[in-house]
Amino acid sequence: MIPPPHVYTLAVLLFGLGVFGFLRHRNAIMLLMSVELMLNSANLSFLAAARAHGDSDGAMMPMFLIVVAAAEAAVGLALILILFRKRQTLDIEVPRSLKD
Amino acid sequence: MATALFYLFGAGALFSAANVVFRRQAVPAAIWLVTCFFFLAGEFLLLGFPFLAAIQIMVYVGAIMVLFLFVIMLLDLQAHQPIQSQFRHSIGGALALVLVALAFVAASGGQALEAENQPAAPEISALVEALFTRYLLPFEVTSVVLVAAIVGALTLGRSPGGSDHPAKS
Repeated sequence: MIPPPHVYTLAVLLFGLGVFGFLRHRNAIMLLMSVELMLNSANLSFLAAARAHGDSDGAMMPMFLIVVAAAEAAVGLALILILFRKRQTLDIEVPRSLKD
Repeated sequence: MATALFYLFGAGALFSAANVVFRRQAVPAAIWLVTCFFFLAGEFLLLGFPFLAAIQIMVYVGAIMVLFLFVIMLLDLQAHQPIQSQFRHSIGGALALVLVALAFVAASGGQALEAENQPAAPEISALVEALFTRYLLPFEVTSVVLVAAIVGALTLGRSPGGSDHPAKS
């Protein structure tokens, strides 16, 4: 049997890597990918909890999380496209205002 | 068997995630993220959620990461740094694929997880029942979220000043 604390540890490590990537990069696409990593570590811990408690409720959350992640990726990538079209860069330090 | 595979996949997922984080270029990072998602799908399988593992691969790898790669391609970021195809990335992908297939065999064999007297993993019917009874409202809200995201992405991504979009302000 897989010990749940080890799964939680793995999820925390993945989440930490995602946070690190989010803070480290200035490339907007890399930021979005780090967010996806963090969302997936949350999924993993939800599933581990669902497994540990024998409860299907914990398995519901990853389904909704995946939908939210898809929506977030679609809108985020559209924003990135606009950013690139306007500024010719993906550096998040460059834009100083949201208007135009 | 399942426990050993769990640690193997965990190490693989951590390694891939570290590669995602420490890469500078977007395309290799995206490919490593795909590998990481495959490993995580393997973990989901080992935890007894084959449906979510399939969803993970289809939605995350099949839709979201392909969207990322499309956008990276559209942006033409690689104008200065040409994409050289590196063989070791395909090795990583193939490795993940083989490992996930192994996990599927291990999990569907059913003996590894059922042998110990742990609480049984929720069946897919239990998942579906919960989804359409107690979680009906969030389920419906999900569709609204998706529609809003699609409309938002379309509105944002529309090409400015295109002749076939006269309504663009």
